[in-house]
Amino acid sequence: MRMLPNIVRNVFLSPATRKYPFVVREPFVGSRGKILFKAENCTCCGSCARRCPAAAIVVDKEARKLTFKVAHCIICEACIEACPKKDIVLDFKWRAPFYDKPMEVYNCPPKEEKGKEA
Amino acid sequence: MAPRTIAPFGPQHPVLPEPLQLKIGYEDEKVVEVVPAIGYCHRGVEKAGELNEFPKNVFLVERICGICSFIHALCYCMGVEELMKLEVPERAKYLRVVYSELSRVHSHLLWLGLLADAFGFESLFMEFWRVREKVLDLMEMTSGDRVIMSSCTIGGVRRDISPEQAKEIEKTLAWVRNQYNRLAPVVLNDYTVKKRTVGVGVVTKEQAVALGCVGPTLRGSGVNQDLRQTGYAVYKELGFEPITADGGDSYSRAVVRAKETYQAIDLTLEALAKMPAGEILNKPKGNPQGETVMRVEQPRGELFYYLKGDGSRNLERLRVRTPTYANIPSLLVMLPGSQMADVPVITLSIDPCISCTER
Repeated sequence: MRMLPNIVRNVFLSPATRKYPFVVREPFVGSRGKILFKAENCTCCGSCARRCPAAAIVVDKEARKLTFKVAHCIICEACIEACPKKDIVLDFKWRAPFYDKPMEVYNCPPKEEKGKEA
Repeated sequence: MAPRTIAPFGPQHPVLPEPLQLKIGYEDEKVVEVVPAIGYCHRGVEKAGELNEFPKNVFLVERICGICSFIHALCYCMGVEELMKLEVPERAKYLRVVYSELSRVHSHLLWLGLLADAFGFESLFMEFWRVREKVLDLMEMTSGDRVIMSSCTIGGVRRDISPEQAKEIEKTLAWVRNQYNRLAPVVLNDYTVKKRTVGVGVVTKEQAVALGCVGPTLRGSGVNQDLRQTGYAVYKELGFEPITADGGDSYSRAVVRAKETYQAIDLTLEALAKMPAGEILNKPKGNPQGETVMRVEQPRGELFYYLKGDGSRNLERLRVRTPTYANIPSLLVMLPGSQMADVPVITLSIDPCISCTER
């Protein structure tokens, strides 16, 4: 009987849920949605790959390539904190589900460029 | 005298959120013996913790439990900090308390909902979970994720709570308290709910101590013991007092959890109000060496970590004992003598978390 006041109140309240496919909640600012690699200033230092707890990043220094195994990523932000060039960014929106395990391969800028900057 | 029958309760059972098996021997409708069996979701986290580098383990231990993930990380980080003689900034300690207590609020709300579900009170179950959703939103807003918060790290916390966020937390917790004020009396005073919980699954004070119960199971039997009394993080400054109940039955354990929810809301607000400004992270240097034991209070009870470092990047040994592991023996006292229909409620009253237990 203690529940009765709640039940009566709920009769007059609007639904607590959203009509999902039509009304989508915007993610909070700072929400860990997905990791994006810009690969613009990447020096292939490999800090992100060393810090990644899920081994989702593979950096090939010879070929100047960065491979990101999306399905392995646990979105912990360790790579973002590790990147000295602030080249990895966080997107607040979650990644859409996928059927196959995608691999993102980025070509890093060649080494000479970095030498010139320095 | 009816012949004894053995019925498997679980590992897959509608009332159990996770795979715990109880082999229940019963005569007529009365339970006479119980043999628990665990090991259905062993994941080898302890071994993985030895193979991983120690800073990466923070993300690993968080995944031991989906409900108190922050407190696992907190216990691990406190252990490593002790090994590395690392001083944690004062503000980080307060933030850790805020996150811990938010975890406790949502864990207890979840449990109260599951309890309602165990005796078939579906609408109450949904009401509790509706309120809990707002707490999860607070976690996402401050730490970036609803469940796996990843906000604790060795040497402090990773994200600060801004004044605007603190205001939002205060506002939402006021709403949660308002809603909870309407729901808690249903669990505590409703006639039908009391019929299912009062005097069911009794474990006396002496038995609880002898069986090594922890958390609300222990405090529900009248033992005034809570690891927050040791004053880790800043619980000492916040003037923490444990909540106990004397009955030792399912109802007392519900009372303890229901009151602890209020207490956790109060502690969160107090920690937010007293939080000093300053640094939140003291970056670790070097590797852990030596061995230590760290204990903190989870929503379910005492969480125990044993860490042994040998001065390398990898830990030599990582041992985790979770509260449900300590509480399962109490089921062997609670269940015999009870009715078969009460088994789900009694089993849930220790708040079993099997993913924790089997790691």
